[in-house]
Order: sequence, then structure tokens, then C-alpha cells
Amino acid sequence: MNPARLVPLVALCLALPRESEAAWKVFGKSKVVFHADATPGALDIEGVTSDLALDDDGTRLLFTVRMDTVETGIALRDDHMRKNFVQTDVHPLLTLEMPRAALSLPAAGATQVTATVNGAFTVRGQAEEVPVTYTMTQEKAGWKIRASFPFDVTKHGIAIPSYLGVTVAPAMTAEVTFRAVDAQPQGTAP
Amino acid sequence: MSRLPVPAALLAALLALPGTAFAYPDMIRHGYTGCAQCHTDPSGGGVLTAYGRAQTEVLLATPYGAPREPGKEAEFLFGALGLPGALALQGDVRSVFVPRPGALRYILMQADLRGAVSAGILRAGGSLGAVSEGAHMARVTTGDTWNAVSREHWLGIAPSDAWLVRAGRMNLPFGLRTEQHLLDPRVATRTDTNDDQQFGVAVAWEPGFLRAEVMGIAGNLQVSPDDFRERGAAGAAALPIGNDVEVGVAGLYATSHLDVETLQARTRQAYGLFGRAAAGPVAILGEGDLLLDRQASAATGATGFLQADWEAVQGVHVLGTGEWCDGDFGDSAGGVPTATLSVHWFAWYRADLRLDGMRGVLYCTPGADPQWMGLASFHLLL
Repeated sequence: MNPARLVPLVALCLALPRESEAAWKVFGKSKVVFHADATPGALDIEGVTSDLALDDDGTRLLFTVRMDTVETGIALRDDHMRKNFVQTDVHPLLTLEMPRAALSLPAAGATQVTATVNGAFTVRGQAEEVPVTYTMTQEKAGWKIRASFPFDVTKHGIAIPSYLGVTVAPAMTAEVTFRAVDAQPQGTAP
Repeated sequence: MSRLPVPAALLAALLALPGTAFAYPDMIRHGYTGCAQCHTDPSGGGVLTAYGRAQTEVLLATPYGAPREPGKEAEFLFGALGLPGALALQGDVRSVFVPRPGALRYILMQADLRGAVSAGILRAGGSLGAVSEGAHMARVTTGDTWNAVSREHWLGIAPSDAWLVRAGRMNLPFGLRTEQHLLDPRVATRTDTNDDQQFGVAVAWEPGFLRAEVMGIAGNLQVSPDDFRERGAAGAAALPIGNDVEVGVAGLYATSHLDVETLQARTRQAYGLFGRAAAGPVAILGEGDLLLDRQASAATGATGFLQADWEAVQGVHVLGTGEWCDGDFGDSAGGVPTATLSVHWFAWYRADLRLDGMRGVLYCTPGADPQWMGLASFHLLL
């Protein structure tokens, strides 16, 4: 078959209305947790925020977290993270971007799906491709989504954090829990 | 288990007050399920690491302003000596005031200089100090009142961050390591950080998903003759569940030809469960131990404690503690519960004050009449 004949077909498929095509917005309270392990001993440091924004332009999902809102439970440690490592005055946001079309939705008749999609995780302006494993569960109004992915701070130009003999491993993980609902189409009454 | 008459038990308890080590298991409220970040002893206590000294200012003490970087004054003697990074020194002075009818009794519980070396894979730790009374099992002199004590002295190697092998006199790995050395489980199992250390070889392993330490006990070489020295083993393993829960198991087997208390051949065993959990400003600590004691006859007993530690504001702790001990279920003397209400204020990163009011009995004395007791203690860290 002439590949050129496929082009209109692909375009048609892309144009077909699907449930996932409605733009999403974050709904309710979200939770973003960054886990880091430190030695000596076993120290699991958690940075937590409820600040999560989602921009859905129909082709890609862009999640944004303001790093100044991430708290580790110790004010001085927060200060170190913001000033010495992430440098939030210069790089206030971290983002995770993924193509919308790569997302798997639950099959017909199912209410849940677990899948992995690659995304671009950007901290301090430096992007790293990360495998995002997520579980989407259909709820009455929208979706509940739990996602996690590993990342390496050294790929974002961040030196390995070390403080008075306690050293943080550069390999960390992020866990995100949020609910998403279809955004109201622009121009319609809520 | 043999029991002392009440006045003797109280006196023994007061004499036993001196000296403890830093070990605050309620640090789980800050996500610290392990001990090795802040302590040179992998199961807690002993000399503080540089990180641990900094945390006394960052996390333990009441702050009087915005968070600030611990400076040189966080070091030993406020940084006056400029110690090399491989050497940590620490001074601990603890005093207690015991109100008595018409008098206020003062005891110097601890005046220890402690040191630790961490150079390459080599590790060492030790302490030398003085007490005005008590701490019999840690004495290196034989005076009637004032004595020199050495609670710890050991050498070790750490082939990796996860392993530490030590030999010398060390705290026994068993249950919740805490500076509250009069808790019934610490007394009944003889595993406090005051003077219950033993000589032996210990292996600590902390791969990340748990922490564990086992120790072969060669006896307390600061006690003689050899018939008094216990041989055996002790161990504890704790598993963190998330950042705010830890559960653990512990075991102890120790046998001697002559027990230092009963002067009989004795084999002591203890097997326990312990745990810590945190919910916001509240930390819950608990331990329960089965006691198996064989002397002229066999006895089975148990001990335990449960403590709620509420950090009302940073540095100010209000604690409620319930503890219980019965060394022999088979005799007619039942365990007596003891309830304690305490306020512990880390007023400065170099000083903390504590008030305890309690009703009950001390020193695992089943059948004794409960009494009201009070203590005021003061700790200075140099």
C-alpha cells in the first residue's frame, strides 16, 4: 500500500472524538511526594506538597509543581533544598510533560488501568526522560490517578546533597496522587 | 525473680539513677527511624555525630527565631578546640534532684567525657567520667561514693555504610534504646545505657529496609571475679514501615555462675516486641518483653511500657508513661503498674530540663506498695 494513502486515515483516527480528548483539570486535593534515601543508616526523606497544576492542551499534559511549596518536615532542610540544590529563586518550577496520546485509558467495561508512559521531567531547566507508571481509576466525576516515577538529581545539574556526614542518594522517586475531571469547555456556563 | 523490700528497692532505684546516654527514640516524629545518622552507636546513644549535634539545635531545642545554620558553636566546647573531622568529643553532665521530706537530695548522675573516632573503615568509641553514687556496673574505681566510670569503650570496623563490627564494652542491643534507664523493661532485662553495658563482639547491619544488631556477650569485665560475668547473646531487629512507624523484635540470653544481685547461678532470657509510631506532634513508644529466669527454680514473667510523647511546641515535651513488671507469674506478688507524667524541655541546644512525677514502684518490685515519687533532672551537653 502506498504509505501516502495512510495519512488521511491516521488524520481521521486522530480526529475521532474520544473520552480522553476532553481537557483535564486537577480537581480536589492533590499530593506530590518526593522520596530520597540517605546514608549512613536508613533515612527516608520525604518532600511533600499539595501544589500541583495541570495544563492540558489536548496534545500533551503538563504537570507543574512550585518547588517552594515542597516541605520536608525540617525548616532548615527545606532551606538547603531550595537555596543550595534546586535554587528555586532561579528555577521555581519543576514540570512533567507527557504526550496525551500515549496515555492508556481503561478498556471498555473496565474502570481501572495501570500502564507506563514516558515523560519529560524537568528540574532547573534540565529535562530527563522518565518512565511514569500510573493507575487510573474511574470515579463518579472523573479519574483518580496515582503515578510514580524515578529520577536522578544529577541529571538536573544538582550536586549530590550531603550535610555533616549524611549523604542523600541521587536516585529519587516521585509519587503523585490527584483527581482529574474534564474541564468546562471555554465559553460555556459552569 | 527475687524481690527487694520496698524501701530497699526505692533506695536502689535512686542509687541507680546516675548517667544515661543520649537516645531519643521519639525522633521518629521527624522521620528518623534509624539511629546511625545522629549516633556513633548504630542502635542509638553514645557520642553524637556531627549531624546529631546539629540536630540538637535544629530539631530538639526550642528555637528562638528563624531557623539558622548550626555554626561552630554546635561543636564540642563551642568549637574552641577545632577538632579534626575524624574525631568527635562530647561532654555530658546530668544531675538529678530528688525531693524528700525536709530535704532535696542532689545526685550527679553523669559527668562523662566521651569520644569517637571515624577514620576510613576504623571506628572507636569510649567514655570516661565520674558519678557521685550508683552506676556500679560501670565503675573502674571502688570508692564508697565518688567513682570513675567507663560505660563504653570499643573498637570497630565499618566495611560499608551498612555494616559495623565492634568489640569492647557496649550497650546491649535489646528493645527500645532510650535515655530513660529506669523504665521497667530496661531494668528487668538489664539493658539500660547507664551501666548495663557488657563486653563482647557486636555486628550491626542497616541495609536500608531494616536495622539489626546482634552481640555475643563475654561478660562485664569491670566486675570480678569471673563467676559474676554473664555469657550469652543479645540482639534486636527493627523494621521501619514508612517514615513514621517502626516495629522490632529483641532477644536476650545471659547466664552466669553467680548473679550480681541474687548470688545464685542464673540464666536470664528475655524476648520482646517493641515499636514506635508518630502522628504529627505525638510519638508513641512501646515495648513488651517475656522474661524467663532460671535460678534455683524457674520463673516466667513479663514487663512492658507504653509512652505517649507530645511535643507541644518544639523542644517542649509532655510525656505520659505507663509501665509494668512482674518477674514471676507463679508467685503471689503481682506486678504493680507505674504511671508517670513528665515534662521535658530542651530549653537550649546545650541544656535540657526534665520533671517527672510518678505513682507506682521502681525497679521491677512486684507486690510493693505504690508510692508517689518525683524527680527533677538537668542535662548539659558540651
